[in-house]
Amino acid sequence: MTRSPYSSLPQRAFWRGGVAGASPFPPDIYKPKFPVTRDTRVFTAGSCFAQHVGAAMKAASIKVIDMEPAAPGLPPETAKRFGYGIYSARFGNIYTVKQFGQLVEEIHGAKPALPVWERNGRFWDAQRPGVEPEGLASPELVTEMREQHLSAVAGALRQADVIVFTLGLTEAWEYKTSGTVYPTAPGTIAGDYDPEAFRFINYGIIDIIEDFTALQDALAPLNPHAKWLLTVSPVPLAATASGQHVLPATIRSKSVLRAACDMLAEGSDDIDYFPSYELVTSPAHGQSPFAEDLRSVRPEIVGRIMQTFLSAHGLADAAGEDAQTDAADPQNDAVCEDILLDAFRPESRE
Amino acid sequence: MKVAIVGTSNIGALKYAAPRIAALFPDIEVTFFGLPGGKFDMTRIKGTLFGPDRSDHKMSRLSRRVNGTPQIDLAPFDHILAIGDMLGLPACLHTALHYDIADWPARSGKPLMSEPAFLSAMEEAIALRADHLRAQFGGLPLHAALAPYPTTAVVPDSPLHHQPYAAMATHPDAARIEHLFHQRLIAALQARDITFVAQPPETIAQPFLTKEPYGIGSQDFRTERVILNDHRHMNADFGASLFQAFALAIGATRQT
Repeated sequence: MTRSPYSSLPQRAFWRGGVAGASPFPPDIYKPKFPVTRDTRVFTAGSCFAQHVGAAMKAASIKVIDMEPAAPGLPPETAKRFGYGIYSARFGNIYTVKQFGQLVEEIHGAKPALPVWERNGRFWDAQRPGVEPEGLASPELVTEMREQHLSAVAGALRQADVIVFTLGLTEAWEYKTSGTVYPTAPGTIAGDYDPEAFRFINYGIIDIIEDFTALQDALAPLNPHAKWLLTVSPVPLAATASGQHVLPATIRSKSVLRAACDMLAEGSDDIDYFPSYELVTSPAHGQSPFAEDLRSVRPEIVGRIMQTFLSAHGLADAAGEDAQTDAADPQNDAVCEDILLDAFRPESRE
Repeated sequence: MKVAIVGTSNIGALKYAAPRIAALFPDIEVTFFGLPGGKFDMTRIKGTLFGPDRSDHKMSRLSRRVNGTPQIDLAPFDHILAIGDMLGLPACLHTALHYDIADWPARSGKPLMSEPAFLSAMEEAIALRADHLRAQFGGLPLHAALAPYPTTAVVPDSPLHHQPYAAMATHPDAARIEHLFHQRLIAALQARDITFVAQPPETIAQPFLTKEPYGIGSQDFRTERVILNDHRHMNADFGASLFQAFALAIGATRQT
């Protein structure tokens, strides 16, 4: 038999047997660069898919940091609606690397532009409008609560061994004069869209690498040793402002994020990548991994993805059942502000 | 008029006030039916029969001894008063103790919570228990009273010390919280066709705390003359007072 560089490769290297004819959740799809154990202090952040990651890790008894937890007695639906217990602090969804970097820079004293948005006499923290769905009574309260929040975020970042960050979007809205970005477009939850003040941006790979480098630099004074575990959200865009059809816009966005993760992970032993995106979009699924809206990932798929992650870290035994149960509960749907854009569809406007 | 008073050990206060109730309201025939708190909580009506499952022999025996019957048929009663559930109050108070409500002026260095979040927590905590109570009694018309606030004996650092009520003695917003809780409780119960019977004001020392004398001489609902004198169960004075509040709610006329 002639020699070939492929002749000694394992099954996982071949589409047939690796994907075709294999489980949609191949156990060898992910080989961790560094261990996550039950003693690992994990900081979780990212787009709404990241909520499942944090929940599964908690179910596996991993020490997921929560510096603004739901107090005993706080009922579960209220806790979720107001952003308690979802991430390592009540920052809500962080869709872009730039937004995460802004948050860390704010801890060091940076001031985002237009920090308070108003609607009908109520006031929202523009950097986390989703965690107070009814807004607050005054801009002063927004500021006071944000100061306490930033202190909590700093405390959470200081103690993190691993930061799990799910990258969700490349599209964002930027305040022209300062470059401040927001997790939701102005006018979606609160505020008002002024085309003179805001502009649409769609990050490219290099932008994301630069933003991530800035994020690492900002993090270093708080925690120079934290490792990173990156994932890409498989949840498609709810809407695009790019001018493209939403399907190619989604593929563009996810491709850019995926490529950026690869570059970052290849460049550092302290940055790993977990292929949750690939596990959802794999053609090996017998039926669509998405729910009827073709956007939300079906709970049982999320459960299996997280089991794949935990198995790779030797934590699946303890976690499996809880992680599955949690994900299978339809009440555990992730909190996603971007779906609010759906209200702006032409037929919704009529 | 036939009235059933059904609930946890807290029915004891009314049960031992029965002679006074009979004197004040001779036209009302009162029947008492009580189960220990945990068992009461698990009990659900079947048809019109309320009581422990017949397969639970131990509890059925206890119910027969205490109530004279293992189960009670609630169909013949004109009015039913359920007493014993706290209807979400402990969860609300724990939340109030853990946070400073941002919209209110007091600050104690605790994490800040917005008033909408606090009110949402309150409504959800009440709804969970109100749904449970409604499910316990099926579609029967119902009045409900909270289990009494514990007495002020829970406030000092003593074996009776009991949170979250003890901290309410010094909480700057206790009255406001009580008002908000009652507002939402009444609305939640009304939405489930349940009428709220509030703890009589003359028994209340301060928000969420009963005057200590009402806890003195309280008796075990299962066995008369077994004195409890704890901070949670009230005596016949309290029972008579609460019954009068209930009588007012059902339009009964007191003997003058």
